[in-house]
Amino acid sequence: MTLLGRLRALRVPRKVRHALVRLTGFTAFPNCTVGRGSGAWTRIVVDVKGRATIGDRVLFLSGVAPCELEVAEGAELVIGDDCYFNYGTSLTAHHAVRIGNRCMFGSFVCIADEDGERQGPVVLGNDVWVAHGAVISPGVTIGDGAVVSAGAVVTADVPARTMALGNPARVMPLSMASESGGAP
Amino acid sequence: MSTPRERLRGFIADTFFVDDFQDGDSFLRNRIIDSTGMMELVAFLESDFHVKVADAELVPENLDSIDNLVAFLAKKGVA
Repeated sequence: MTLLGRLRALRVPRKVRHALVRLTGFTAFPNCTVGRGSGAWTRIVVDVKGRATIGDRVLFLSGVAPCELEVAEGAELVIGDDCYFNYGTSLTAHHAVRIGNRCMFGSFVCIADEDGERQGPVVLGNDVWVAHGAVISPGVTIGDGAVVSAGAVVTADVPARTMALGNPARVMPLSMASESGGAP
Repeated sequence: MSTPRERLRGFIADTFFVDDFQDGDSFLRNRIIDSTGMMELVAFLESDFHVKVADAELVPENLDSIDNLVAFLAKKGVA
């Protein structure tokens, strides 16, 4: 039973449970190396047979669906510090998925390094924002500070400080969005 | 037959429900079109004007106003 399950069985108040899970983090991530202050807000599905490293202050949310981490035997998943994953995000590593620091992921983002047709490591730089429902295909590298728009299907590399939109995603400079305010 | 300028203005009015703007007004600065709307605009250029827009051409200098769009289409051979 996870720490969260034990605390629930002991009737520890919900806020205290979640605070403890956030402070400790380790219980929700079997077979992972987890940094300080990282954790999952309620549920997360973890199936790690390879190597998974999660940095400091990484938070996984769970709403209508839990986040899912799957790392196959011999594969590697690396998540940097200060990353934030909204509910339903799926990270699947059969080879390597590497995510930099300070990245944010909207709900139902899907990242996989193998999809039956293609395979290859997926690499995200620092300060990347991936919006709701985006799909990052195998072999894709996303540069520092890039933005992936909601619903985008990224099949090619995204240069640093650009924005990817559409299916298949096309790349445009951030200047095409930053003046509009609010969401890109 | 309507001019490219009229067709562009008609598309923007029909799609984004805005027609109170000048031909030189910036779509982005005036919040007429956001980035997702820009992709709709590009799809319109490619389907209705039969031009191919490369990713490198997705810049405000080409797309951010009616005047810029007309000049861009002229460079692509659309009069």
